[in-house]
Order: sequence, then structure tokens, then C-alpha cells
Amino acid sequence: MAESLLTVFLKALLLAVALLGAFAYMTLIERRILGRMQHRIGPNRTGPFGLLQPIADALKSIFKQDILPARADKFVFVLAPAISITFALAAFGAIPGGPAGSLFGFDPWVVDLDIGLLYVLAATSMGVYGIFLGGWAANSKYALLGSLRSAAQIISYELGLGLSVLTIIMIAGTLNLREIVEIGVWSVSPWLWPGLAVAFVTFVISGIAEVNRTPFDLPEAEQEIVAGYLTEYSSIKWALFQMAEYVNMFTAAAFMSTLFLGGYKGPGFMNALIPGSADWPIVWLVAKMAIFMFLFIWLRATLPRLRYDQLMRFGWIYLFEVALGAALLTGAVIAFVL
Amino acid sequence: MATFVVLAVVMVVGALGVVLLKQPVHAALSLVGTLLTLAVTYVTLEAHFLAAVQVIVYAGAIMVLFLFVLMLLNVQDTGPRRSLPGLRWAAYAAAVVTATAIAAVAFWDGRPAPDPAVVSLHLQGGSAGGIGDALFGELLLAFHLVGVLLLTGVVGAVALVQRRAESAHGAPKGTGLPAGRDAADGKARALASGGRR
Amino acid sequence: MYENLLMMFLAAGFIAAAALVVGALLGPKRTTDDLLEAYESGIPATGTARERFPVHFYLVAMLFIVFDIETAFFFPLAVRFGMAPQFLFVQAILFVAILGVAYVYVLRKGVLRWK
Repeated sequence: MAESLLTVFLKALLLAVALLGAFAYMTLIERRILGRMQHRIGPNRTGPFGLLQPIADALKSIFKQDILPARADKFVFVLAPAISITFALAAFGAIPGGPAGSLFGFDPWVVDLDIGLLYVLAATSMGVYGIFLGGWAANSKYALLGSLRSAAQIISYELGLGLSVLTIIMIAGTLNLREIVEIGVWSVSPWLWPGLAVAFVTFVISGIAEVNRTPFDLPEAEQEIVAGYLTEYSSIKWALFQMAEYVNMFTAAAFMSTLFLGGYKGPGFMNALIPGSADWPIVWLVAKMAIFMFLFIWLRATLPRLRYDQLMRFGWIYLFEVALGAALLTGAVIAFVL
Repeated sequence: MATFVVLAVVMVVGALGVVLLKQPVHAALSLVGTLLTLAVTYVTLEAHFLAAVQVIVYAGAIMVLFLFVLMLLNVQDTGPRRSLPGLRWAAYAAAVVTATAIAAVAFWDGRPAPDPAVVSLHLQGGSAGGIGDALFGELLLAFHLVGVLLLTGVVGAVALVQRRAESAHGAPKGTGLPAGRDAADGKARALASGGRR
Repeated sequence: MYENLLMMFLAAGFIAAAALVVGALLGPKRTTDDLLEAYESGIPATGTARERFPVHFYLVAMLFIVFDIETAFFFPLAVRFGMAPQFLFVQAILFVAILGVAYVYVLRKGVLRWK
């Protein structure tokens, strides 16, 4: 437990670099999978299987001209991508990657907070400022439309997110992510399964909306508003927003896995195959995240974008009511059945 | 103590920024910074749950509302404006009186500062449980009154907006387009085919 | 544990600052007036983007605050739920009922019907 601050800082830096590396290769994986789903090949020219493509993309971003639009609010324009990426990276720090001390004697997380669940919600909710301010600062109509839409969307679906986790908190009785994993919400009672299942679905839907993925990618609906809040951004600042978007996806996937799918714990039968393998740190969390990441890509290839009125109606009426209903159902089961 | 001094200085600077910055959005950002620093102060006081809620509700929700309102109104004019004569001086006087009152209470309060160890024992790590105990124990009535207060807020906001929406009948609403854009703009939008991705 | 949080933010902020500095140093700096203009699909930009916006956005933010506070109150309730489930369930139902009035009012007024 008593890790020095330097160790913690290095772990945080390592985590940040790992997330950025994962971002780079996630873009490649996504383009390859999308290609296959759309009956084409995807990037495969740069290196074997296109493996050098992310490096080429990164170099291109760095060496492109960084345009500061003449009428932009310069300070906020530069600040916005920094806000986005900082909070996106920091949010992931509270996700536990394994039991205490399991990573070569180190704890596989950066921070273990008694209110870890709320911390992740709070840190990701700050991401709205990056998008909102970025679009506003550019002083461009497309960008402003994108950022306004986006801010309204993100706050609307945050409600679904908050209400969905109530089910988990009621069952686990704690806000600490590690304790939630150790309790294993599904193992408490079969009576709780309906509520959990509904909350899981609403949580995943709200999570996808929070990270602006298809079918909720209205903030950068390229057919209508060019690239939304990103319209005026170029080079490294644009790349930072992209990074933040993907890191937020990772956080969402890890958060979903941690709350609903047992997080870093491997399936029990793995111990029968390879003794002790269910306790390996990081591995299982990454495997579960991969499932969600694939789901995100799959949805992007499958679903059309929602219209704005559909988006708002869905979030405020169906998602809100169903998520609240799941929480109340779980409450009723705990109060009167168990 | 040193931590508190640093945080206090940051907060005061942030608060001054809210008042002194000319551009309304910059002022709002300064307020966001102040509120986030306040959340950090809560953390140093072991009020962890409160800190998280401070970020989620104040920085994450209320300030978004502020920014929306700033953009809705889009106040451009930052020049001198006509207001009630003497209002500025009345405001200064009110500020001085309030600051004096706060300072007086802070300095003349004869009670000793509470022992941090005792405080942290009572706060139980400042997690949500303790708040729950208080909220659904002695503060139960207040909890439900907050519900009524929030209900009033909703009704008030809807009443305000609905009246205005009726008077501005026919303006395009809710599509994310600013009201009263001309057709050329719409055409230009339709022509936008290529994105940057 | 909260010093660790500071470290996390330092590391994240460091990455952000480093990226911005590297980008600013390495990119070319050839600017023309056209390049610095806002992008409006290739035609010269008209006016600024500092326009007024539909009041609907204000309502969404206002409703969000109200229901966000509701959720914030539910967190301590949910944490302590196992201690006195029946009592707390009744309290939750009461609280939801009061805000349910607000919700139904908003629905009836058609605030959430985006045209």
C-alpha cells in the first residue's frame, strides 16, 4: 500500500503512455474491422498488415501545421484539447487492474479511492468542457453547432449513466470499484438479475452516448456539420481530441467491465485449466474491454446515426425511465424479497 | 496548512477572475476553476463524497447551464452600460460590509479549532455512507424538502421558457440551428460534403 | 491515497502539455488570411459564430441539474440501502414521486418534444 509518490507518478505516466499506444493501434484495428465489415480491406500498405499505419498517422499529425483561426479565442482554443485529454487520461487511473500487489508486487492501479465510482463519473463528466469550449472557441458555425449539440447530448445521457449505477451501488453497498469487483454483483442473488440486466443495458447505451460513438455521434456528424467541434482543429490539437475520444472509450469499456462483468477477475473455470490464471492482473480487464471495444466498432458499422430529436427523446424519456425503473426494481427486491 | 494556503490563493484568484475578466465565457471558466479547487479543498478536509458531488453537480451541471445561458444570450457589448446611478458604489459597499462581517466572525469566534483527528473520525473517511446516515436520519425532512425545491425549480424554468417560446412562434427550434438563419446558410450546409476524417 | 490522484493529474497534464509544445515546435508556420478563416464549406465566411441560440438548450441544462441532484442524493441512499432497505425504499419512492410530478409536468408541457 505504501508506494512512494515517485512510483505512483511513474505508474500514472506508464498508464497514460499505454493508453495512448492503445489508442494508436485501436484506430488501426477499428479501420481494419470496419473495412472487413464493409467488404473492403482497410489500411494494409504501411508495414505488414498495416501495422506501421498508426506511427505514420502520428508523425503526420505532429508535422502538420497547427492552425489557429484568426477569429478564434486563442487561449480557450488551446486549452480545450488539453482539458479533454487530461481528464480522459486521469479518469482511467481509478480503474483497478487486479488484486492489490498483484502486478510484480505493485498495485495494478494508480489510485484506489473509496468513492472510485463517483470519481470516474466526475472525471468523465469534465470531458464535456473540452468539446464545448473547443467548439465555442473556434468561432465557427459548424464547430459551435457541434459543441452545443454535444454538450446537450452528454449531459442528457449522464443521467442514464448515474441512474444505472444505482443498481450496482445498492447491491454492493460501496462506491469503491475494487470492493464492487470483489463482491461480484451477479453472485448475490438470482432475484437481482432482472434489475442488473436492465441496468447493464441502459448503462452500456448511456456509455456509448457519453463517448459520442455511433449511433450517438452527432457532435461530429460529418454529413451535416462538417466535423462538429473538430472543424477548425488541425494537427496535434486535433489528434489530442481524437486521443481523448478513444481514451474515453477505453474508460467506458473498462468501467462497464468493472461494474457489470467482474472487472479484473477472470472466469472461474480458467483456474481449472491453468491454476491461478483467473487472478492474473490486467489480462482479464483488457479481454473484457476488448469485447466492448468490438461492440462499439460493430455498432458503428451497423447502425445509422440518430436524428437530434430522436436522440433527446430517447435519452430523456426511454432511457431515463427504464434506468430509474431498474434501480427501483432492484430496491424493491432487496427490500421485500431478500 | 500549506496546502490550504495554496488552494485558498488559487480560489481567491479564480473568484477575482470571475469578476474582473471581460469576456463572459472566460469569467465562467474562471468560476469552473474556482469550483474545482473548492472540490480539492473538500478532499483535503476528508470530505471525499462531497468533493465528488461538488465536481459532478457544480462543475459538471450548473456551470454547463451557465455556459449555455452565456451562449444563448451571447452578450457582445462589453462597453460601459447604463445602469442605476450609484449601483456600482452600492455593490462595492455591500462587498466591503460582507467581507468585514465574514472576517469579524472568523476572527472573533472564541471556540478552539476542532482537532483534525476527531473530525476525521466523525467523517469516517468522508465517504457516502456517513452522509447517508445523516440524510436519512435527522435530516430526513430536509431531504424531502429539497425534492420540493427541485420541483419548484423545474416548474419555474418551464414557465419562463414556455412563455417566451409562444411569443417567438415560428422560429426554428431545437434542431441545433440558431434561430433566424437565412436560406443561403442552409444551402451552404447542405453542400458541405467532405469531413476531415 | 489522494496524493496519488494528484500524481495522476500531473502525468496526464504532462502528456497534454508535451503534445501541445511538440506540435507547436515542429509544425510549419506558413499562414495566409484564407487559411485562418473559419471553414464554411469553401465559400468566404459570413459573420461570426456568436449568434443567439434556441432557449431549448437552457431547459435541457436546467432539467439536467435537477435530475442530476436527484441522482446525487440517491448515491448515499444506495450505499446505505442494505442497512434499512424497507425504510429507505419508501423514502426513495417518496422522493421519486415528488420529482415524478416535475417529470410528468415537463412531459405534458412538451418540453422534451424537440421539433
